Amino acid sequence: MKITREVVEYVAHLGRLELEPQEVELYTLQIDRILQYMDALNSLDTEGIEPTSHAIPVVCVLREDQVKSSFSTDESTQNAPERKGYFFKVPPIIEVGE
Amino acid sequence: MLEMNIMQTRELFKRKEITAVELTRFYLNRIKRYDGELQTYLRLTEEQAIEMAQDADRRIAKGEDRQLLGIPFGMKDIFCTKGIETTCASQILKGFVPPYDATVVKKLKEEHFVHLGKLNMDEFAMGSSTENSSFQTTKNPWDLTRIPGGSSGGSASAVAAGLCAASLGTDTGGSIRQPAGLCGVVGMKPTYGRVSRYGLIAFASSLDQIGPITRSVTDCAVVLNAIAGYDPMDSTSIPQPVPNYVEYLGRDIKGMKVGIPKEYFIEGMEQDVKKAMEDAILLFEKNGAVVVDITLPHTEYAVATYYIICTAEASSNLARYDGVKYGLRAEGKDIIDMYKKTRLKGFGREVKRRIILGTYVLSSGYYEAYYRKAGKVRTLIRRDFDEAFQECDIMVTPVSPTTAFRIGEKVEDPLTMYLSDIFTIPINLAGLPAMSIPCGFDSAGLPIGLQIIGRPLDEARMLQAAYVFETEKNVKKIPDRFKTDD
Repeated sequence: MKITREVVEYVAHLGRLELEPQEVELYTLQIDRILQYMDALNSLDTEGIEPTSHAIPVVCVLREDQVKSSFSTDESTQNAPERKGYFFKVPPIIEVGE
Repeated sequence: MLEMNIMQTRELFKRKEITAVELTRFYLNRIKRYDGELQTYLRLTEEQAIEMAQDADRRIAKGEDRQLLGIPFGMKDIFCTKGIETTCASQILKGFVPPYDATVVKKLKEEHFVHLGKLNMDEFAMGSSTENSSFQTTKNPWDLTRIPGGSSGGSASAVAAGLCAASLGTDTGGSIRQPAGLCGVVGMKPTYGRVSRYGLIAFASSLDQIGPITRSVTDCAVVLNAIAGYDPMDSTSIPQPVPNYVEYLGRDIKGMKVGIPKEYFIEGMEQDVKKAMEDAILLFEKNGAVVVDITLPHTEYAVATYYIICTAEASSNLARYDGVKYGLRAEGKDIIDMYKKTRLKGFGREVKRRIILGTYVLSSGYYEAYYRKAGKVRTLIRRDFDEAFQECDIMVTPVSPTTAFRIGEKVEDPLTMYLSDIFTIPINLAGLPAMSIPCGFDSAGLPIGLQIIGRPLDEARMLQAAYVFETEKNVKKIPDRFKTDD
């Protein structure tokens, strides 16, 4: 086994995903199989090879910083599940005492 | 009407033999008649379509002439459309109404196209069968018990059944070419950077590319003319002039070197697919092309490389769906709990699987072994193509090792599903342009797709070869069941 239940649960937590118990079971088996398949790459010698992050060479694109009109706060927040005025409203982030 | 290409349709507009409103109603009626069984559209924009068609008719009457003026399109539900709900076939984006248009949508609007509605897909474009849509299962018009391919399965099925004149899809590992191949239509993934990705909902940013799905090579060229080009809103878009692709149609292919990569003719390929490829190669030869045997030695590593890179990029791109800015929110006792419950409720199984895999390959301790290693193998795959293109002008391969499989057949087995894209994935890793064109049918009457791969920014030569092939081969386009033209 390349991966255990605990690892799947931990990685899901890192990815901010809650999983149902049967999903943990399923993903552990499936991801283990996929990772074993991926191990084929280890048979290749890649010493000294530069990794590719973009297939077509990309240069850092710069432009003058200009003031332009953008979305209004109303447009930017129009899809929020919950908002207050022009703010996104979220559940508590910092606990306020007992 | 369904046999006409876009250029011929525009001639009919000019001669007043049909109006854009009539053409739009023609497609809307077909959608009403057939889409109950095919399930290609997630939502129709009927009222808007009629208004756009009326506007197009006014422009036609004034003598305006644009390539896509009055042409009815269906759009994959992955492009932001101002004022129209855009979901990526995911529960997590249900109700999301973008305040802006994607660049490709803006460009089609500048052409005064007609927008019929949004088409089904695999959730966040993750899949090869459109079965991962969280809303509905789209069928293959050649056999309703089979999948249309994916992830642009709604687009390919709708074009094949004549429920729109043309469509746009997206291709990260084959998501335009594979469904186009399995549905018997033309689909192109242009060079990475040829078409702006601004306003495209991201899956894997270093691989995603937008392209046309059409019923003919001519339409593919016409639509590519309209959407290609540099866009300051996409820093990866290429600042190179766009040729007029239509001008390359009808040129001969005498002396063109057609490379056949031996690694693409593997065991496990269906006999009918193999036979269709052999016939296709003979047809290119008959038309004066020179066939060259080439080798792409790292092909067998492409699928593993791809699923490391695409899941890593996806896990990062999909972090934005957190129940704060748009879409679904589930209740939670604090913010982390709210994130987790929202994402549990909002994402389907394949999306969660890929987020976990992507998070794992990027996590501390595994980054070197997986993500960095995959980046290096990607370099080797790119070099294979660079070297092989020293010896040929285009390459020809199958799009898929098999024809369309049955609904439900691979859905429980992700690795087998991943391997169905073995011939399309390497092209995305190398950023090259490639297209799928119909090349015949298997013994069950299911379409077989031929893939043409080109050098970077050499879409024109691919279209030139594809047009010769299409003209010579004259493959049947519309399935009998959807042929009624009333």
